[in-house]
Amino acid sequence: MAAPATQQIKIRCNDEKEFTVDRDVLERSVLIKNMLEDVTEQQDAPIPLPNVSGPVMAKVLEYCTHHRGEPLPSADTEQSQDETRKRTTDISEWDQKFITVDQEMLFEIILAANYLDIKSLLDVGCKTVANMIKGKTPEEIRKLFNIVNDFTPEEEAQIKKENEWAEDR
Amino acid sequence: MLLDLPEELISLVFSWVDGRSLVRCQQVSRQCARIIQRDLQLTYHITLFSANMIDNINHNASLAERSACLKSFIKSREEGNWSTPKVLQSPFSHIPLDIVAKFESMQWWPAMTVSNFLVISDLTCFYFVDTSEVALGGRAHQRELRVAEFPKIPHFYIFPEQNLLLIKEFRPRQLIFHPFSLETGKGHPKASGALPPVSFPLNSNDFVLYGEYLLVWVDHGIRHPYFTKGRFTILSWTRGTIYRTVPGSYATGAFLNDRYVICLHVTAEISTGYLKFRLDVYSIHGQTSDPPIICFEYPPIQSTTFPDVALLPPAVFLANRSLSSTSTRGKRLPFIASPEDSVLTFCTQDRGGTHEDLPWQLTSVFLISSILSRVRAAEATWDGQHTVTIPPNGWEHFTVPMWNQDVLYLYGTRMLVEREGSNVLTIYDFDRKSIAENGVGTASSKSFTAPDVRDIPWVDVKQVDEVMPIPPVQSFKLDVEPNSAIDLDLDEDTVMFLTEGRQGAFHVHSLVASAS
Repeated sequence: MAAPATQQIKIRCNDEKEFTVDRDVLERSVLIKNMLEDVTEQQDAPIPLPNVSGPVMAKVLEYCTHHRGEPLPSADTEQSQDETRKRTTDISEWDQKFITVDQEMLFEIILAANYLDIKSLLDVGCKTVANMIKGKTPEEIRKLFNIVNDFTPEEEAQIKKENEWAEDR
Repeated sequence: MLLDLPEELISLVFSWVDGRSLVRCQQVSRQCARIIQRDLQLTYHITLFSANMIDNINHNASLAERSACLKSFIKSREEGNWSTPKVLQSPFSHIPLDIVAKFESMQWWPAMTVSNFLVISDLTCFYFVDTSEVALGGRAHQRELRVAEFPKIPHFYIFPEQNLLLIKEFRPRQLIFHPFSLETGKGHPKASGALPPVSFPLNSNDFVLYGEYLLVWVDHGIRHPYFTKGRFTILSWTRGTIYRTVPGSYATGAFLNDRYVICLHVTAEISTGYLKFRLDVYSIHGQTSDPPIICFEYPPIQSTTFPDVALLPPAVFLANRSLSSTSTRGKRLPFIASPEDSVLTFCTQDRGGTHEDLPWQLTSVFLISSILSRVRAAEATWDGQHTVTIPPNGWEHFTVPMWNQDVLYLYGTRMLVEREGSNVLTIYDFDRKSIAENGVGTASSKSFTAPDVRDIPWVDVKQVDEVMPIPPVQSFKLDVEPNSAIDLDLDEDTVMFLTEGRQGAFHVHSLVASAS
């Protein structure tokens, strides 16, 4: 089947960095897909993406390029995903490698995926953070994410007591 | 940095976290606690976790409805009133909860793991849950087998490679084995019919299956103060034939291959205070009156310390703990090999065979002494006829910590020790290669504390695999509730656990040991 010549789309990040990308790659992002659908005539001006920086966008595009052509989640599959999501936080091998980045970049990717509305990437990011949390004690979680314990000692003792049931069973 | 994310994204991250971790996240900071408490889905998840439930049913109830239903379920359960909530499903919801409750009150849980099967039984029906795909992240397949009704609770044993479900039924002074097909729940196609009853005056605890043969321990109830005496009955479950009956002790016997069995026979010389140990090899197809074809005699034991195991022949016996718990404890005895003092066992096979193909041979011999906390092992060769040969320097000590009430399982050269009362399981791998090359054995044990696996729901077995690969020699901690049963299944590379949580929740843990 002869595919029509792939349309190239320009985007501009908040640090003025510009990318020229195949349309089908960009359409992994529901946000951009909707934007492109709204625009009827050919437009040369780059699409501004004020919430995403160049390095993060490069990473996001790497993900979109790898997954291009895969079916986008429809409303239906989304629901069935909801049914199974509790059970599996597995991440495919490629995604796992892809998401092996420092924490800062990881959270940037999550933010970007959320903004650009790329559900699968958002899931990968969230699952990765969730896997970091799993099995850790509250103190370990604080240390991991640099969270300050703002409970008073009394409150902490109280909340610990309230949650004891989860630990001793 | 996590908390720099917008709250809805933090909620989203938490939605992937398991119940226990979610409870812990609540304790991290005020903001975390607030985010979780505000999110109906997350609080619902915690409530599910507290009820030991997994909400995996596809239905249209709203979260609020589910939450209300769950709370009423928890409440009714606390009041001792068992009912399955309508919109929720536990992983074993096909098993009526009242049955589970009934068995709980009997202090007996009719559940076990066998191979990849989790088997739960009520009185007349066996529920098989094939968990093989669970370990791979898939779903469990449930199967129901309705077998003949038994007046008393039967014991059941599963041998998947032979498609065999063997049910042991006790009748007054009789013991009957019923072979069923695992696939159909009806009579096994290879079995010619019901087996003739084995008479057993008092009790019968054990049997060994080898291809078509069964070696059934029949306890005479003769309680010599220092050992137990009884008989072994050899029968074929396919032909429905009893071959012969041979004397034995301590319920310790095994098949050497499809022609011979080996049994421990203990006698006491009251005048001298010696126990004499003999290992008899019998031909399966011989007459009951035929003497054993070989005997290994043990020298008399004279001192009050355990004899050096080197004095003993390639020795093989197992003090069956269920028979040993009565008479000798706390008494000073002239005899030293009391069952409590020693845990002696042996192993005659590498890996299990099938009915068509019987590759078991005597390859490894272990003698384990709990007094000396050491294991002596040797690689033996059996010519299938009359000779068992142990290389002269084939014995080697492995010193491993061992206590009297530990339960041992031997699988080839791998030993699993269930530490009584301590919730610690240890796997030892006896290194054959080092014996062969250096004449020195190693069974070093690396200790580590594994992540808490108490409440990993069984659908998350894969996660257990990921966090706990077991190198050949390791010990790990398994926390279980007091009095909850652990069922173990171990083959060359895999350990499977079934632990019981509260209120009918079963946890299957599969720990994949990496092959060395």
